[in-house]
Amino acid sequence: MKFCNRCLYNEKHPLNIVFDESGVCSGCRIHEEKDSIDWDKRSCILENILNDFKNLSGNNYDCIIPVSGGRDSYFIVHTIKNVYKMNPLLVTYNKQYNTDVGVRNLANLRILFDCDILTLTVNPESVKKITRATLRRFGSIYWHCLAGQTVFPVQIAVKFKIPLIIWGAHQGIDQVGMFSHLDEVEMTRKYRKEHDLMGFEAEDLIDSFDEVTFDDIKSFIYPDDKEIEQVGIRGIYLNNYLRWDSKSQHEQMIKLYNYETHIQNRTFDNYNDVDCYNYSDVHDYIKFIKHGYGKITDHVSREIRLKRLTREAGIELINSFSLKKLENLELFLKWIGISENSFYYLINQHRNPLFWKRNDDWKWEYNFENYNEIENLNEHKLILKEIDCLFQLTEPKFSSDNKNDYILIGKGK
Amino acid sequence: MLVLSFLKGLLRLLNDAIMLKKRIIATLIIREGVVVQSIGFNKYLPVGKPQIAVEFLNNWGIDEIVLLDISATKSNLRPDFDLVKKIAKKCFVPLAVGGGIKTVNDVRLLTQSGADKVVLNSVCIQNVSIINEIAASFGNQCIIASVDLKMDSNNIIGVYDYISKSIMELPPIEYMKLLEKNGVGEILLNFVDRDGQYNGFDIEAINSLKDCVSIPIIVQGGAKDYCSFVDLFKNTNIDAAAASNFYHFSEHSVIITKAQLKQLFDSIRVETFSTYIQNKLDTRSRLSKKMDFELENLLYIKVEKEII
Repeated sequence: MKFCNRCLYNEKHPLNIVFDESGVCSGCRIHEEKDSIDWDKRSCILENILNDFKNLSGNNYDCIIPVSGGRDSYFIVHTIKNVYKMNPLLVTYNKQYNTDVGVRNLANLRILFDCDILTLTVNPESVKKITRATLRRFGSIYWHCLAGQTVFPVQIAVKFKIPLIIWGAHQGIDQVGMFSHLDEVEMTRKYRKEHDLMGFEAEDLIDSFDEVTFDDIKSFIYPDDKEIEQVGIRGIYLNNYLRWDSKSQHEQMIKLYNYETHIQNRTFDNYNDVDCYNYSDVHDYIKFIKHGYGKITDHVSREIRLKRLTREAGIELINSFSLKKLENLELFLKWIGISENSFYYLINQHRNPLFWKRNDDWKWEYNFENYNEIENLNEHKLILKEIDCLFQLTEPKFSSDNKNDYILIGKGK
Repeated sequence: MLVLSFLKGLLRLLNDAIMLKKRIIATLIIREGVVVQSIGFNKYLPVGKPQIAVEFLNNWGIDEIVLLDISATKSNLRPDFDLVKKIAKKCFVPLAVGGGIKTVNDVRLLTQSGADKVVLNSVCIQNVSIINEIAASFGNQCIIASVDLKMDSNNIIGVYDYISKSIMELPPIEYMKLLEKNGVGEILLNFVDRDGQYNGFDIEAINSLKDCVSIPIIVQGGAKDYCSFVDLFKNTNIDAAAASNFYHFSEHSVIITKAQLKQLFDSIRVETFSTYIQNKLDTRSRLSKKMDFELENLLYIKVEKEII
C-alpha cells in the first residue's frame, strides 16, 4: 500500500488519488495553491459573479444556500449575506439523524441571519426503506442524506427560478486535488452521481426485493436537464474564491455567533459534524470498514496540509481514534429496525479485504499498514505555522424544549 | 411556386448532406483505470471513473469520444478490454480507444469489445508497417494515429515520443506523410506544450501542418472554452477539435460550448434536448443570469421533458 509522503492518504482513496514522482499526492499539491494564489483577485471574481446574479425586480431571492446545523453553514451564510450583501434563501434537507446541538445550531442560524428557510423532511418510512436498501446493496447509511442534500437545493432552484446555488468546499478539491482552484469547478450532476451517490441515482434504487418503489424515491429525483437549462442554474463552490480553512472559519463563527460545538466520537474535529448522530460514529465506522480509513484520516490530512499538525502526531491521532467503539449504534438500529447481528452481517459484505483479515479466532482484525517510513520524507515536510491544533468545546446550550416558546423546528415523537 | 420551394428545400438538404459537420470531440485521459486531467504531460489530477465520464459526455451531446490510456504502454500492459466493454455499453457515439495496442489481435479484441476506432501512438513510432496490417483487416477508417508535438530547444516543433521523453529526428510533416502512406484514416495532433495550459489551440502550427496530408486531422491541446474552438474554426479549415480537461469543470459543458459555436458556425451539431441556445455567458464563459422577467415568466411555463 502506497501512502502520500506528506499527508496520510493511501492510494485507495475512494475519490481516487494520484502520486507524483516524489510520492506526494495530488491533494497535497493542489493544497499548495492555497498559499500561492492571489486570493484578493479570487474574491473579486466571486463578487462579480454574485453581482451578476442579484435579483433586481425585488420579487425573488438572489441565491440558494444549502445549510445544516453543522459544517460551514454559518460561515457560508455569514459570507454571502453579511459580507457580500446577498439575499439568500436557505434550504435544508432533514437528514433525520439530528442531534440536539444540530437542531439548535440550525434554529439559531435562521434567527441570527434573519433568513427564510425551506426544509425537506421526507417521510421516515420511505427513508428507512431506502436506507435498508443502500445498506444492503453498497453498505451506506448516508446515501439518503447525500442524495437529499444535493438534490433539494436544485429542485428549489428549478421551482422558484433562482439560478444560483452556493456551496462551501468542493470535497474533491479539498481531499484529493481533483481540480485546481483556478479551474473554478461548478456543481454537476456527474460529480453528484459518481461521488456523492456512489454511482446510484434515485431511480436505480427501485427494487422489489428491497420493497423500494417509485413513491419512496421520488423526493430524490434530480430535475431534468431541460429544467436546469431553462433556469440557467449554476452551483458554485466558495473554496475556489476564498482561502478555505474550516477550523479557523468555525472559530470565527464561534466568536461572532456563538456557534455550538460538540465532542465527536471518532475524530478530534469538534466543529464540522456536530449535527449528526451517525456521521462521526456509525457512518464513519462503516467507512473505516469499507475503505480502511475514517474521517480521522481526512481531518488529520487536512490539518497537516494547513501546517497545524506533524505527520507523526497525525499517525498517533489516527491510531487512537480509528478503532474506537461505536456510541450511537443502538439508536440507529432502533430507528431502522434491524438487529445488531443483521447490521454486522450486512456491513461485513462490504468489508475491504485489503485492510481486514480474519485472525486465529475467526474475528476480523484491522490489517495495519506501516506508513511509508522512507528516507526522503523530511524533504516533503511542511513547517508548522501553528503550534497546537486544538478544537474548542463551547458551553452546551439548553434545549428549547425547556422553555415555553414556540419551537420552530421540533423533534416530534 | 410550390416546385421552386420544393427544389430549394431539396438543395438545402443536399447542401447539409455534402457539408461535413465540424466535430467536437472529448478525449478522456485514463491513468491506471482512472480518468485524469493531464497538465503538461507530467502532472495529473484524478477525476473519476471512465464509464461515468462517458455516460455524461453522451448525455451532453459530444460528437465523438477518444479514450487514451496513458499508463498501459508505460507499464507494458495490454489495453483494458473489460473496461472498454463496460464503457461501450454507455456510449452511443463513435468511440476510439488507444493505449497499449501492440498487435493486430489487440485491435481485433478492442473492436469486439465495442471500440469503433483505435488510436495508435508508440507502436507507429516503433513499427509503422503495423498500420498496413491493421488497415488490411479493419479498414483505414478504423485507425487514428496520435502524434504528440512538442517544441524543441530551438523552438522548432517536433514529434515527441512520450515513452522515451525525447523528440524524434523525423520532422512532423514527413512523419504525418509516412502515416498517411501506411494507411491511417485520421491523425490526432496533440500539442504537448499546451496540454492543460488553457492558452488556446496552436493556430500557427496547425496551419503549417494541416495541408501535408489529405486525411482528416483532429487537433488537441490548449482548449479553454468555446472561444478556443471559435478561434480554431475561424482561422483554420480543421473540422475536428478535441478537448479534455475543461469538460469536467461545469454542468452541461459540452452543450454550452456547442450552443455558442452553433451561433457562428452552421456546421455544428446540437442534438440534445436542452440546447442552451437562449442562455448567455459571462466573460469567463460560464452561464450568466437570465433577466428577471424571463425567469418570472418561466413560473407559468411548463417545461416538457424529453420523451424517448
